[in-house]
Amino acid sequence: MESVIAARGLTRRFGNLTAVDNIDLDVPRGGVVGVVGPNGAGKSTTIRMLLGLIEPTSGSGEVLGESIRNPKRYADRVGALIENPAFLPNISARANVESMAILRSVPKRRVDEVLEIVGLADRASDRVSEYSLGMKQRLGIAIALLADPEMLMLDEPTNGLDPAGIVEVRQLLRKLGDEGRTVLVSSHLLSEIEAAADHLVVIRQGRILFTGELDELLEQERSYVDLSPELDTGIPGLAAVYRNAGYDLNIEDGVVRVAADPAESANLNRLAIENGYVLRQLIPSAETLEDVFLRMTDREVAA
Amino acid sequence: MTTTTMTRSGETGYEDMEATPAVSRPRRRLGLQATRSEAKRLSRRSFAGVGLGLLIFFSIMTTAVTFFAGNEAGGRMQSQIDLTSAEGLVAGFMTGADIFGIVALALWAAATASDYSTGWVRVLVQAEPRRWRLYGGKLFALVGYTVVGTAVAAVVSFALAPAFAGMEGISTAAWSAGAVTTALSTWLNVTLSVLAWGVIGVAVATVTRSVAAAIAGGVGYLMVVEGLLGLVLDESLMTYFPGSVLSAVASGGVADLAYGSALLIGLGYAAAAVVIAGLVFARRDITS
Repeated sequence: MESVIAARGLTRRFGNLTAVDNIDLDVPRGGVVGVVGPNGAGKSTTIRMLLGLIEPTSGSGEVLGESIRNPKRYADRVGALIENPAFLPNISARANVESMAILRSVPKRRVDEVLEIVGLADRASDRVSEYSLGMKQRLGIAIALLADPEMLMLDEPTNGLDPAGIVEVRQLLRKLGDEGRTVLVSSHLLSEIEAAADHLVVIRQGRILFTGELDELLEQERSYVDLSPELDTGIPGLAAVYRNAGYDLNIEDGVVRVAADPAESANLNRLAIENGYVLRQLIPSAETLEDVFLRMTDREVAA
Repeated sequence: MTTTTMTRSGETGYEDMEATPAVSRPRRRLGLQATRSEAKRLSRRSFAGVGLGLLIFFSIMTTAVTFFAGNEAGGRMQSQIDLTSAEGLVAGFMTGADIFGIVALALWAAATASDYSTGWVRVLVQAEPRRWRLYGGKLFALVGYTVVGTAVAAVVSFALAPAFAGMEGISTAAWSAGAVTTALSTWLNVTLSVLAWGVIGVAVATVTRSVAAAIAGGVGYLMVVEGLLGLVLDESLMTYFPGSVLSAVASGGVADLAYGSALLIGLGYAAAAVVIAGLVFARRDITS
């Protein structure tokens, strides 16, 4: 597998704070890679290091085969949207893009193309100060696309967007990924990018908790059955019954949560009755991908 | 590489999109992209218009004051130049040198600090990681605009001077002798002084990363700090402070400081400002 991003032991400290802690990362060529983690997880710092905007405290990294300590060697091949989209507010969107097109030596016709791609062609003459946040995000993506890059690194591109805007950006990312580009996109909400991502990197407190295909993360989804005895005083006894039967379980908020496939609900009910417990409720459930993500990141916090 | 179009028309908006032709790989020619890109941003009305407007306004004002107020005995703005001499033509423009310098300092500082306050600097550095090239491009673009601005301001002043002289009954008979040379050398000296103020503005803005702090700091130093220092320090020492030196450059030298010395010291101040700003820009974390 060809890696377009390869990092080894990448670490960045700001004073006493370790924002990125010794991460190893391999990103395959093509498709959409979601970097997901809560706010402050180290996503933005990682992207900034990969873009060469800040130097790592230690470790090494390569983007498109070039060291991240020499970003000029790959800057032409990477488009980026870093943090909040930044523009000169008192000039038009077109003037902002044209200014960047000149800097990147991109033909002028490309300015119209990227504005068309992000759906801003009709508003290109408006001052950026008159734009909504969603329009600014799209303008930021337009600038990132200017040089027709092999790779895009987009830091929280759906920030501040309404649901329709999130869907639009997600579709655009998917399409760009399908065209053969590598699109690295960060978000603090898994739900915002799970539909578009082929590959996920879950990061928390500067450390990578999971990296792999979305399917691999889906395999970690758990099914469980929540059971409540008629009387709360019966919870320990009911838990003991299932534990003796070999089930993994935990007790949460007056509910015995048994790790089991919903198909086993009848058997769990029978076990309860045979041991003298009448159930007040029995609810078969399954974790969503978001639950897996939260469980994964919560476990790390607890650790 | 192909691209697609984003629409707000519906969730299946991309499937029917035709791929656009691939853009040609960027070509770097002579490294002037940074200058041209910066010039594009500076050409906005809010910057170029205001900057040029201020220079023209102060050119008219100082020329008028020089001839109308400076010609009255004991007047507050009494000119030190004999307005009937060959230098009478350029007296108004020369008098405005410090004000033009303040305008340049403020504009250059605003052009620099706004890159930080808007976050635009992150976009620039991602697109062109060679920060010295970006920085040089900005300086060249600002120099270009300022040279044009002072030229226009000079032309306005030189055009008004004969009219104002006529209204005040000042003889202009001596003005024609070497007028072009005098005008050009005065414009050059004033412009050099103004450019030095500009790079000082860039240095302050790069360090403070704030438009307000840069302008307040730069203008405050010139208008207040250097004046206060003059009250407590030896007068001969004050001759070598930036404000005095750059005034001397603009005037083509003064009694306490010959032109050559003033130019050398002024270049030293400008070079120091350029290097400080460049080093700070090249080394600082611009993402924080």
